[in-house]
Amino acid sequence: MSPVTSNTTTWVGSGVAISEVVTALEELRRQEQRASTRTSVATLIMVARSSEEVEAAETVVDHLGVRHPARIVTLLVPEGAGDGPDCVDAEVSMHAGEAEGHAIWSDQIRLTVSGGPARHRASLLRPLMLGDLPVVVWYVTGLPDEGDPLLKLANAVIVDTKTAPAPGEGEPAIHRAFEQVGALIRRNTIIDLSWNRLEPWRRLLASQFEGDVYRPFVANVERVEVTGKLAPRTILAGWLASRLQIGREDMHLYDGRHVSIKLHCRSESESAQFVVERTSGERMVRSSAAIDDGPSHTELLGLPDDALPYALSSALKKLERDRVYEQAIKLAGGWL
Amino acid sequence: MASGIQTPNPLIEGLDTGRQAPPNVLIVFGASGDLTSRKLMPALARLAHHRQLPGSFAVVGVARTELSDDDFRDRMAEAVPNAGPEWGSLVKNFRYVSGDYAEDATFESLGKVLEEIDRERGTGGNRVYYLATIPGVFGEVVTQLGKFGLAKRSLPGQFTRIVIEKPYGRDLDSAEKLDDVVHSVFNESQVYRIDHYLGKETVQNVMALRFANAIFEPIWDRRYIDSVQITVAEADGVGHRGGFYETAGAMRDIVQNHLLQVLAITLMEPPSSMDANGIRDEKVKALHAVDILSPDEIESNVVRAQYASGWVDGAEVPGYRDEEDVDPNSHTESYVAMRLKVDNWRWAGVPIFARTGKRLPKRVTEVALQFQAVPHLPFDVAQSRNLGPNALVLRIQPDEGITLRFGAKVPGQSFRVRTVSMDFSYGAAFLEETPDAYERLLLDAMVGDPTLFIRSDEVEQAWRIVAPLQEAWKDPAFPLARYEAGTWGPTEADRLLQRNGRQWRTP
Repeated sequence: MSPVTSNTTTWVGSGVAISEVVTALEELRRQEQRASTRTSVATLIMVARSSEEVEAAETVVDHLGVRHPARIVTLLVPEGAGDGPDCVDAEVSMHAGEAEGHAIWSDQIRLTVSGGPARHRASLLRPLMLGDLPVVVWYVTGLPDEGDPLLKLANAVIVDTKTAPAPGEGEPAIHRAFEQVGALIRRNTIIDLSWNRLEPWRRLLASQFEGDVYRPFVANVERVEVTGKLAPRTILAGWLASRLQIGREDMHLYDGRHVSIKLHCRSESESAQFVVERTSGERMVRSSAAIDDGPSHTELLGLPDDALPYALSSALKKLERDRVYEQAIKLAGGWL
Repeated sequence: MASGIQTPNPLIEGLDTGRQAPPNVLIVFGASGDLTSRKLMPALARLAHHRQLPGSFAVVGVARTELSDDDFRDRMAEAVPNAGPEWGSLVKNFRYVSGDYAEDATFESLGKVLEEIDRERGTGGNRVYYLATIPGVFGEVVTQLGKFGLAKRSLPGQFTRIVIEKPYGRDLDSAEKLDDVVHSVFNESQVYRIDHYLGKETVQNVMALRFANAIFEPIWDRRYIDSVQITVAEADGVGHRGGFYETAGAMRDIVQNHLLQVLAITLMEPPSSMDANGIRDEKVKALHAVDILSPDEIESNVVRAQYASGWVDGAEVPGYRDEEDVDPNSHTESYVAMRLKVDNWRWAGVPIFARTGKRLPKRVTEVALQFQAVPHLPFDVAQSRNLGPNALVLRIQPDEGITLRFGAKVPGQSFRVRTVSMDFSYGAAFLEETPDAYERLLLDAMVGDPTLFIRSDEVEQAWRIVAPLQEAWKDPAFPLARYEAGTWGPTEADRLLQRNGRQWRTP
């Protein structure tokens, strides 16, 4: 059965204290007796700068359905809100979902803040965090400053290096973004949705070298070609360089709409090519391994219809530091 | 070509590939049969979708039915109609060998096909043979694999494994003979005897519940538990499997394998580790502790029965003897209830009641541990009239989870205590996609993890437990009770518990 979600009663307040929000949550739960039993795995705080971003983020979470039952707090802090009057507007609702015949309930809280509450946003969120459960902060766009108070609350921080710079900002903006992430990973567990979206390519490429027949070729990669948009191709290049110990001179990066990776390898007198590519017009990744005058194979892998919910879902499943990502982004940041 | 055994794969680091199969060829005997298309192919399609199969992978189907490679590919593609593009891509590489298992030519052809696949796809000589045939030809296929050198590993690091479906023998004697044949060709470490019940997440969850929590294991013994009830109920009748069922009955179909495996996992001691031998050693010890009934104990501790016509789920259904391919005078049991004793420190004196049957009101598998009463109840009769015994129910299927029954005060001015149930639903707490049992076990066999497969000594001990019953039931005069389809079994089974001062739970 596919997950179903629906919204129930909503409470709205303007110029409220967080204690009123907490009371409203308790009241809503009393009214809706079926929600007395909840299953939650985390508090997910989504930080947005505009109502459009809020809508977009909530749509993504709705797509997740009931796969990650969490208390969801959307924090809307418009640009310059810290200089405005002290104010907290809140909207509280309960979500009912059903998965495989089980009712799943979760809370959703939307806060729009300005003035002192915007500058001291951590104090707003502490009373809303579910006890004993991880807190995940997702910056819907952009990257947090190192001094952002929410970073201290977070067990994991979700960012997206593909969309962190504004469109058209080019290589310097990507450079800054990679540097910023490089600084953040010193203190926080950073999960990059762009990295997660590239997981099918990474996994297919890595799995091609499994087994005795193809494994020897991974030790001697002579040339790497990575195609794609700037941020994803750069992270992939950083990953391959850090994993395979190959220099920038053997790394050839090309601009392209879809991501593809090609490795030219050698083992003793044999050469082989390993390719993973998404072809135009298909939501599929194709991978192939071919030893010249030897064995070969091709695989197809379907991609999820909506990449962002997929990436967010896999981010929420594994709230751990990823050393391989950290090495990749540090190396790639240094190249730009 | 250089060997890559010593070369690490740096690209794999950080990827969650712990459950990805290495390059191999899966050879399915009985490839034109029902099990292959209904269970194995959907399981493979899910593994492909979850990227748990390697690029260097192929399937070879072997069966008597005359089919070309393309016919086989079409059949297997149709077996999983809604699979993604990964399945279509995988099926293109399937091969088929038709022939009789007794014929040498069949295995000569198979050997050539396997060599071709190794050469073309880089599967490295790794083989997983899967016997999805009728049990009667298990020995023949194994012997032929040995004769043609197909069970051998020719290079270090290569693997050859064989997965054997249940039933493993018809009784202790035939199981031992089959083992002799299997062990003449394969080492025990290469043999994966499958009982798909062990692949179920919730059966494995019994171990997680017991051994990952400090609150359950200390009370998991005779000091606190009054009795244990294990129910494996099916609402279906024998359907089109009447011919098979006539030769198996509930004892061979369920008790000797599924039921005793669930029993072993429920009663075993904590293993020192969760590796294959750690768990299987403890399961075997638990089975060894089950008291084997003597002939004169059987009638008072075991009930066998057959369903009569009745109504199940709003539909009228025929009695067992009126089913297709069933002897109208059949004495084959469709229901077994028994009281078992476990002779060890932990369970001495705790009766284990187990039952299984077809045409019961619903499909359900559960283990219920009923706790002893408190030593002193400080409430008067009126206050505690609705208070029942505490129970912990492990629901294995279909509504997987745990129910804890305990007493709570009824809200109000007066002090009354009533039993309430607290439910934990597996599906509501973990919303990850649960792997199907065959998906899990196929991958385990390819990865080389035998933990959830049954070792030779387990099979044999399970046969030893049921052997006296099989022997007693050869006598047509042994009582065979009847129960109306759609009920929870015969009154004789109720009396079995009443004699022990207890009653069956209603799942």
